[in-house]
Amino acid sequence: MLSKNYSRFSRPWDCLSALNWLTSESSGSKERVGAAAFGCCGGFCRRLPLFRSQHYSANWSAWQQRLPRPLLLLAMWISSTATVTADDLAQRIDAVLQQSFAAAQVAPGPVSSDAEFCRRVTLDLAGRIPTVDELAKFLSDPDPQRRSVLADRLLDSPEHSQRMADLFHVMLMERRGDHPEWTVFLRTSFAQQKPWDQLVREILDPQESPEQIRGAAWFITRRLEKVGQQETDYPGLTRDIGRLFLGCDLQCAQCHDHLTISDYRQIEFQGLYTVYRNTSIRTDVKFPAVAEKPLSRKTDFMSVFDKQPLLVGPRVPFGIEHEIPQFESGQEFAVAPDRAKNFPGVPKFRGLRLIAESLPSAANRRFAENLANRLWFVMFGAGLVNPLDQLHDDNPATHPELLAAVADGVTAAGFRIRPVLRQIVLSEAYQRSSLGAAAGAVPYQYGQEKRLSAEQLLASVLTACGTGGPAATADAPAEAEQKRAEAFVKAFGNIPGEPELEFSPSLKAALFVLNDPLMQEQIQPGGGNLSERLSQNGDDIVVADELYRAVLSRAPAAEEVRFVCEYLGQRREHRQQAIGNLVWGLLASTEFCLNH
Amino acid sequence: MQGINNQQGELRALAKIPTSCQMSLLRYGLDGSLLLAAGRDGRIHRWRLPPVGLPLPAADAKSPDAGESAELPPLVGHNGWISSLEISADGQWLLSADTWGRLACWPLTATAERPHWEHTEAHAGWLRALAVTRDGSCLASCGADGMVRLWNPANGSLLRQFSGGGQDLYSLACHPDGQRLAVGDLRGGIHVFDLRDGKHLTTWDAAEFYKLSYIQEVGGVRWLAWNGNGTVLAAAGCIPENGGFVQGVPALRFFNTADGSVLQQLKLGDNQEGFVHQVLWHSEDYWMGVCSGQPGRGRFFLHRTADEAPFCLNPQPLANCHSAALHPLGRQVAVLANEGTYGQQKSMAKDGIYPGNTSPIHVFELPASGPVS
Amino acid sequence: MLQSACQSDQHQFSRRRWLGTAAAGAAAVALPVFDPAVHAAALQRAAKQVLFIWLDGGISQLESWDPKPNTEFGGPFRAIPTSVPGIHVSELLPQTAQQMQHLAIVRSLCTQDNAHSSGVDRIQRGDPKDRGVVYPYFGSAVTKLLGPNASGLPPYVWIKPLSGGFMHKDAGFLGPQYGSLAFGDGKPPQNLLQHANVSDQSLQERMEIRAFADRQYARGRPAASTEANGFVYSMGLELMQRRQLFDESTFAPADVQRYGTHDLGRHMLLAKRMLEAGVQFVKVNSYGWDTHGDNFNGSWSLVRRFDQPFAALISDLAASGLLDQVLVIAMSEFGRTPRVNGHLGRDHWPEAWSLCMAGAGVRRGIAVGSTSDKGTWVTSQPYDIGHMFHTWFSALGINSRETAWDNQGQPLPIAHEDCHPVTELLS
Repeated sequence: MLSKNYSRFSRPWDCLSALNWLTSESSGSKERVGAAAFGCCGGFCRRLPLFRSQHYSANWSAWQQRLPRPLLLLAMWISSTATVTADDLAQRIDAVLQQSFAAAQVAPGPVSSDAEFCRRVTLDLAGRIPTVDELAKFLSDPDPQRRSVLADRLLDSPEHSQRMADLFHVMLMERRGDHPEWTVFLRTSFAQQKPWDQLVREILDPQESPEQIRGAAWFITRRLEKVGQQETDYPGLTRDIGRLFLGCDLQCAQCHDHLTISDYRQIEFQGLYTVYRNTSIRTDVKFPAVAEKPLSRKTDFMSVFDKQPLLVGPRVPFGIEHEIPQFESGQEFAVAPDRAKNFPGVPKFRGLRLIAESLPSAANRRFAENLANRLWFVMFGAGLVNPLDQLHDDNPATHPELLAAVADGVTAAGFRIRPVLRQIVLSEAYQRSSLGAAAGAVPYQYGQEKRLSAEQLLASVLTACGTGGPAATADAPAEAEQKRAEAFVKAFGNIPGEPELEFSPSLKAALFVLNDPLMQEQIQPGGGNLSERLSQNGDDIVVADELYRAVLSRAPAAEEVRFVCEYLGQRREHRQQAIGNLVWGLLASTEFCLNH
Repeated sequence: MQGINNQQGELRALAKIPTSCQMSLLRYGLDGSLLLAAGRDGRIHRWRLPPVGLPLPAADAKSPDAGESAELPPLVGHNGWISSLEISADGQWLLSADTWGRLACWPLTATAERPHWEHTEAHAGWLRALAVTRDGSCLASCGADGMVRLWNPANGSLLRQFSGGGQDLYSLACHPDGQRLAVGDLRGGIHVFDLRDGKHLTTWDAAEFYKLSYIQEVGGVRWLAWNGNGTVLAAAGCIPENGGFVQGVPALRFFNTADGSVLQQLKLGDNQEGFVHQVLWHSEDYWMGVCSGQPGRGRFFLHRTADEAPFCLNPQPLANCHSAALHPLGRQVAVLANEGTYGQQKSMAKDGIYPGNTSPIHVFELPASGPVS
Repeated sequence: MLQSACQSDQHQFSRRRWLGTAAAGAAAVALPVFDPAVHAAALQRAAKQVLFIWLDGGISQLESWDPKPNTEFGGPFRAIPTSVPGIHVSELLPQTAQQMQHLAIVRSLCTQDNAHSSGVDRIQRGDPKDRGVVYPYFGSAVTKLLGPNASGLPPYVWIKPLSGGFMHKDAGFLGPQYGSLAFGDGKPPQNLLQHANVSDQSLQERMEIRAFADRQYARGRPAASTEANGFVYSMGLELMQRRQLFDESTFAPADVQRYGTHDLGRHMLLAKRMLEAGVQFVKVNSYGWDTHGDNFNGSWSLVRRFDQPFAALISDLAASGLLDQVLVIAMSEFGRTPRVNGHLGRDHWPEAWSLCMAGAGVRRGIAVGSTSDKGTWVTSQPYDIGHMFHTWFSALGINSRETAWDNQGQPLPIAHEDCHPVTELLS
């Protein structure tokens, strides 16, 4: 009977019942933190090996199993002996994959067509589909280097900065809303090609000047906001720092050393928590800003299992602990608080600074691996390590040598993102066609389907339906534009706090596409938009061609031309309406709403 | 003693009579020598008191006790809760009603055991209020069935019946002229009828005493009383904030009998409290009333129609007052409060019994003379 | 505070999709090979439906299913006989009393939580053993376990006062797609109304073009994405085409009078329509039952407004035969204290309370369990909510002991493993 199974596992899963009070101290004020307040994992972590081998994704585990052990070792040897520079990452990627194809005795799939590549790379780098003109220009370009030329053009475009800002906004804030100062921070950062380590440093220890970067504080302040009657979610903030910047979800290490992940000890969590639970939202200024209290004592904590009292000061996970200097009473502040103005003061010893100095650095391999894995996810639709926040020795990458190579590339590039993306785009792996993929294919044998974000969908709808220019968003007044953007996020985004990882169609999104006036107004002919242009053209074959190029960024196949012609042929009297229906039908298609 | 002149301008606590269950209403009978309480156990509880009123507690008493009151056997025969008690105009009869619709008339003696007459189904279900005319010729009753019935108090014969103008009727008051009857309903309507022919005369509006909260109809005109000469009608209730908890502002609304205009609406607490459950007229030209509230709250108050606020409140809130009765000599008042365990604790008494709550009766001496406004 | 640490994306990263829902359906009940008998059982199961009436805040058992007239805590009301000799209910349920032959009352509930904030969750999730995972509400659980039926309508609809929308909270670890589609104040979700510029003919053509494009795309690619996307569009269209279901103006005036013109009456009538249309799980919420004050006047108003539409609905479902497949449950997060507080309210009482159910595999015309004379304690075998979950699953043809959730590798019982189905409640 099943009940036996439950009891077999019941001890770790029932670990809540084993929980006791955890005592911790902060700046002299003793606070007791219930294990329940941490939301102990209940030994959830015990199941992770199960995930990987059986339950996470059949494909991924199958892929892993197909890699023979000697090859893995060989690949590891390659990566350990050769230093990857920022310029040869593409070749390294393909070399490693070539070996895995050979070992699996499969041939890599065909290279994508120019149209397929053009759509894919424009979506990935510029956040939208290509315009009809852009596509035509690319397809007629005789330059054998046209793919890298296109990649460079896109990488240098202002749209790329916007795309990166949108992408990292969704990744870092996980649909917790928007803040104009945060938007300014991200946009200026990516426009300046700010290295990732610097950007993260600005997030981890936000400064109130210069003005363009002070919005970085919103990462922390948004998470410090109280929701309803709940307490400030300090554990959640601590956890997100680990997840998003180190790829380590330390949640299960809140209350005890991780049961199965030997890397994740309770101290990894507690050392960070010591710092973040000492923070609050500044109330003396209107912009997002973080206040930090003086830190005078280490945090007491104990495992819920063995109840041994332990102490930890500020500490980056897997790093060294910082001693807390002692100051005379009244001497703790570098800038004294001003109660009259609600100014919280600036302590001499600041945990936020310590974390910001030591976490985002080349010396911290996990920091580089996390970025490598997340960029890989962005470009390939899956991480080298999955889930993205389970980087640890017991959960090796599908291709460890690839993770090493990309992480090396990231470090070699000085944490600049653009060169790494460029190398990935230039790889054969990125440029393979997604057509012909069947279940059981070896990883990266074919191109992968990737979910489009709400931002990519909106920009693509506007590009497809608009007057042909890429900056189609400028046609609406700012307020309406804002509302439209919010409506798209509401329809296509995930719920707050949930990462957007895979394609997950919803009834809400379908009803939006079916009936929302914001979609309908794109279909309605007018202002020289696609529907109007097509309506004015009497040649059905030309209409079919332009329709497919505008919406699906490719020429129609013969049967598609036939379909359009037959359809329009039967609806001569309602031709304009019929064209609107065609535009809608393609916009609502799966092909349009994926990057493939 | 009732003769003692309380010059302090404050209520003076004389006694606190414990009870065995929760009660809904108090009356004095037999010239003040009998105190009657309508039990939420279906019984009429009775205490014999000194006819001149209770004496001051001993100087060394830490808190008032039951004084010289002596409990008599209760009158039994009703069901559910006793919902109303009235004394006939001649003081000879006790009229009682319950939530199952029974109406009974008892000899008002300390030895009474069974009713003089009764109707087991005077109303279909909850009989909410009784009122008698000053001349003693008519007893009016109303209930949740929406009906008003007029009875001959002498023999219990039905004189007249008519629809009271609303679905759920809560309260009744006979005008001192004996010719008009005011009926208060759940939705804040106060319908005035001619007692002689049952004709509807007018309706006054206390709609603020009502709210539809989700599917719950909350509020109601919980009590009606005319002043001594019948020029002002006081309507008691609550301005509800919500259903469920039923929190709201306890309120009184005073109507000018002549034209139905609202003379004043008096709020007796914040929006976290309960109902004004009862209001009485004192011949020294002021109103006395009680109100309830969330656990621990509740008031007994004295108020003159024209004043902005009550001139006298019991010094510390009593817990949830539901009724007050004025001693015939006019110097003492008995206030029915509530006491006991609140909330969902499984609390047990020492003997292992899950205890109910009770309604202790607080007897106060009123301030010496009429208020100075 | 982290609500429950482990409801993170760790749990969600490999969520099944809408289609996954369809294909995997009763994924928990693995069907090894095609077996006609098993297949028939699955079909029969899929035909089952649930109406879950949630009286939020706590209906008083003493003013409804377990009256104790003329006792210390019995309150002012009478008990009345029902259509089943020997079973009495409060006089506030006059019409329901006449439907007693279809109903099963449980008077011996004894549950663990007397706070609303946690109580609502614990009851609707079946109060499973705490393993640090967030269990699905009954509605999410049922729709997942039964698998999709043929209606094409959203499987889990929630009719409630106030706001509506797509409510994911109920789903717990099953993932947001098992949440409910909420009809706020009975109104359908946003974007259900066809755009004025789009004719029915155009809409149909659009869907055909979309389907053609998806067929084209699926050639040479795994079908998962197109099927998942197609599924939500079909459901969207189905909802739009049957929007008259939600149009109150099309309700028969006689029905409106029978069910009541108040919120709960209108919402129950809507629920009836949805059940008739094939929606698998309809939850109807009524708010404002937390009668800490003025409980008796409150119950007078509330319980009678429940009585009217509940009796009408049971009567209608029984007449149409639908009651054979629809499990009806009316309950709250707990009962109310026997003791009456000074504000004439009753407080929260999980120690001894009642619920009412009917239909599907539930035995009819019975009252199960008993409480002490004053209604204070359960005097028969006490039942926790876990027993009810077992019983309800059983009534729907789901073996609650042998079926387990597969929470991405973690086998979890669908109902508390220390509880069992109450056989006397099952036909």
